Amino acid sequence: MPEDPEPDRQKLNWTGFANRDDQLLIVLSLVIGVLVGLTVVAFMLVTGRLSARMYPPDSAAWRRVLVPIAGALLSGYLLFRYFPGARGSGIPQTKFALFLEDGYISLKTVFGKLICCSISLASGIALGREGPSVQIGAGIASAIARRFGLSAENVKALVPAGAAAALAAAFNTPIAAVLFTLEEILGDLHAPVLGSVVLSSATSWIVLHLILGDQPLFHVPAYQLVSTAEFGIYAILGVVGGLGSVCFVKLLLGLRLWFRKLPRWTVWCQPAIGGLLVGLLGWFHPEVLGVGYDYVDRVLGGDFPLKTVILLAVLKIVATPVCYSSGNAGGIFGPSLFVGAMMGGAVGTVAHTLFPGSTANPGAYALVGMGTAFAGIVRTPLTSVIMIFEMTRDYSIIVPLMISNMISFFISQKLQQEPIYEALAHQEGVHLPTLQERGASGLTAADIMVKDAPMLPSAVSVESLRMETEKEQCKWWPVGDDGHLRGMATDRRGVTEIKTSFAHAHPDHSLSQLLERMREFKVDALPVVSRADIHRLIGVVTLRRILSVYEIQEEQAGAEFE
Amino acid sequence: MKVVPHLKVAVSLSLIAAGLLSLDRFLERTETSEIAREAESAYQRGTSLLQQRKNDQALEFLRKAHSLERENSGYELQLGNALAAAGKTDDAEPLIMEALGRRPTDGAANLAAAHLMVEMGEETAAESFFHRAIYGEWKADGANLRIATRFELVELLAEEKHKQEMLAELISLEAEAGNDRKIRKRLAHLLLLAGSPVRAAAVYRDLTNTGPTDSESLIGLGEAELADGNYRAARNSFLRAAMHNRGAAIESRLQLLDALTALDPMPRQLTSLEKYHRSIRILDLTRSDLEQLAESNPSRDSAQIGELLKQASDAIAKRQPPHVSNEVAEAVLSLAEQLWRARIQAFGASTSQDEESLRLLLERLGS
Repeated sequence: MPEDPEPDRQKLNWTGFANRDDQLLIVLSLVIGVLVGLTVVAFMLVTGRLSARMYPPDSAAWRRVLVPIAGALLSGYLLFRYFPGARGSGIPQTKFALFLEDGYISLKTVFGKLICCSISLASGIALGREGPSVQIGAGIASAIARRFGLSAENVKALVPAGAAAALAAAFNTPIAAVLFTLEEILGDLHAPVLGSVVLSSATSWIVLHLILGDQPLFHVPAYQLVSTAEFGIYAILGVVGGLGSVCFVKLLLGLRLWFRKLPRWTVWCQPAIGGLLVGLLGWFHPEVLGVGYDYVDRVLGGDFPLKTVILLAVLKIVATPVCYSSGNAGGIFGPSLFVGAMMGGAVGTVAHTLFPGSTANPGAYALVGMGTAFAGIVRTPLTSVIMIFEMTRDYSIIVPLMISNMISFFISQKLQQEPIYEALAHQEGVHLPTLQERGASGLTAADIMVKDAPMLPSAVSVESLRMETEKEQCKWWPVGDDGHLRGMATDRRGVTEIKTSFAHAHPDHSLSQLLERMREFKVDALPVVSRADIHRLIGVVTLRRILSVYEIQEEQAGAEFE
Repeated sequence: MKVVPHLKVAVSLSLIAAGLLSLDRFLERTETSEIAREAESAYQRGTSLLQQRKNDQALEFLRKAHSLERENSGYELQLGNALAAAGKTDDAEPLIMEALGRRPTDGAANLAAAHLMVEMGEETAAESFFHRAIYGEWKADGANLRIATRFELVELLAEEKHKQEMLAELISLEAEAGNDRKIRKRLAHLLLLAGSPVRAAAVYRDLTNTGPTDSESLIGLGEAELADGNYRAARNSFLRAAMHNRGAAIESRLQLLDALTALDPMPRQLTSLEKYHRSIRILDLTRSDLEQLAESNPSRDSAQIGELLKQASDAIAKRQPPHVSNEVAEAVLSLAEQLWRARIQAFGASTSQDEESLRLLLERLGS
């Protein structure tokens, strides 16, 4: 009998899909697109109407101080008491859920995010709605997938679809939403879930258009490249954008670290500090309040004076990090576009004043500046280019965008090596797997580690330490107190020496990664810790165990060859 | 795969979607109506401030109205108008031209473009846009807006002193104006400016016939008749106006007309002798005016002026001929005209109130 050259084809049914799970995933991608689109539109409309009621036209200035404080206090209490999972932007939380919790996001978190973000954003907190939308979308996708009894793998496959659908509706940029999901959420441009991500993004975008019409997020004037000399000015914009982005990120991370050190009982009222600051700034400059898209629109129209755009860029660079690090619910996408527009407006105004005949209106620079700040802060260069391209729908903007975005990205990468979401995760004690780690095949640390390895107390005697190390034939052993890993201990000439700065492994690390790490840090044992909390010990992996695994495999291989 | 539980979930999701859709629709309608109200309020305030010439404040409100309702071309054009009025023509141009590109035959868009061109100093293009606005499409109250636009065009032509074109537009307006007294008064005033006092007087006369106590129209009629050289008729009109509205302005006009009536050498019933005396008086006034100017500005004096002054002095000093004919009086008036022309050439036109009667008479004689 000749062999079938394409045996897999026999497994396909009339729809072209291999099995019913694949069909269901496709159908659910569409359902997720619809539901997420409807929810995000409702979220945007509720926030907008609530904000209009908080700040009626010609309202008194005291509102601009008191409303953000009250909003931050209320949302802060709700987050602390009822919805701790809804804190922050939503992007890192979505990634945690995707990589550490099998895509699990509770509906309670989704509701919490909706309620708390609506309150804080409507009250004028200087954060954006796009990051929270991503978590809301991912949460809806996760809940739907679980309701349909899908496997953990399939739940994880649908979470990015929800995230993309949310971003497509929130930004009105379906292609950029797909790219962002691949570039930032999944960290893999070749992710196999591309099909469902594209489907849900497009569906959500259609829903947005059906309800709100063909209204763009920003009203962008026709883009113009007046002369080739402008490329040089766009390069300068890239430098300015890069430096501004680094300031923004460093300030945010530094402040977040400071707030984390405050006593735990203050967590519920910490957001009020952000509310107070934004309120005081808003007293003098109402433009700082909220995400400020109205003002972005005006800068794109080129009608803000130089002094104002510089001032607003600086104020937003201060206000958003304070609001975010103090624990308010909201994202940094919108504010980063605001900061970028202002920086671009400033560079454009200076350029247009100096060389009026050979430069475009400052609005063109504000537009490119938005992408520049996004590339520098969020560190998704491809998304930032495509997002602005989608907003303008003008091909001629691509090259200036690429020039300034790449320069900004490069500067940001040089001066702030860790990307913002990764750094925020590390501050939380979370180590997400890299693309390489996720692709690991074969045996992993979880397969060979000493499970239920006893963690010795910090004040361990050298005798007790010897007992454990001799049992596993290694020199190092984890120590800690109250289930909190503090370091690795060794017997140094009869004295216990503890290293608090130590190398660690995660359960999904491959054996080669473990060996590499042991060689790098010159140790023969590594604590295996949780990705969600690096101070939670799961097991211990030793060099002897790894070698023994290889010996067995070598013996088996030898036997086969014999 | 269990179908029934999936069906239940699917039904639940459909219900949730329907609920969300209803919520979205409700919120969207609420937002649309609230934004429309806010935009309308901002537009009204901006327009009111624009009319008060508070351009910068008006801009704030009109920008807000435009950003709230981008698709409202009325708000867009009014913002363009405000930007142009504030001298920000670079910002106004793309806004107005974009609106015009969308609706090239729209009257309001063409009118805004005309205003922009006026601000940019492009009068020819402005005239073209004014014409396109006049013959363009208007959403409501088209007839009145066309008349108002044509008036604006006439005023532009008046500024440029294009009297022929101005008169052509005014003749069209005369047909369109109907019986609206306000419009007809403005029309008559502009006809006078366009150098057509006869047409102006006809419109004013019509107005005074239907409103005999309308002092404004009576004054207008007086001015038209004064410009046409009908001093007696003009005096009568001013006297009628003074019966309803006596003021310093009318008084001064009456004094002027008294002076003109006393000097005017042209009335048909005047005898040759009286015409001669008036001519000599006009010559004397012209000569003394020129002499004074020549003394106070010796650098501009010339041999030609000296010669003319000598001729004038001789003519005045000469004894009255025994038989005064019309030709003798005309010769004297001709000399007075020559003196007046020399005066204008060397020292410029007279702007003095005291010399107004002399100026009016000599201009009329020279025309």
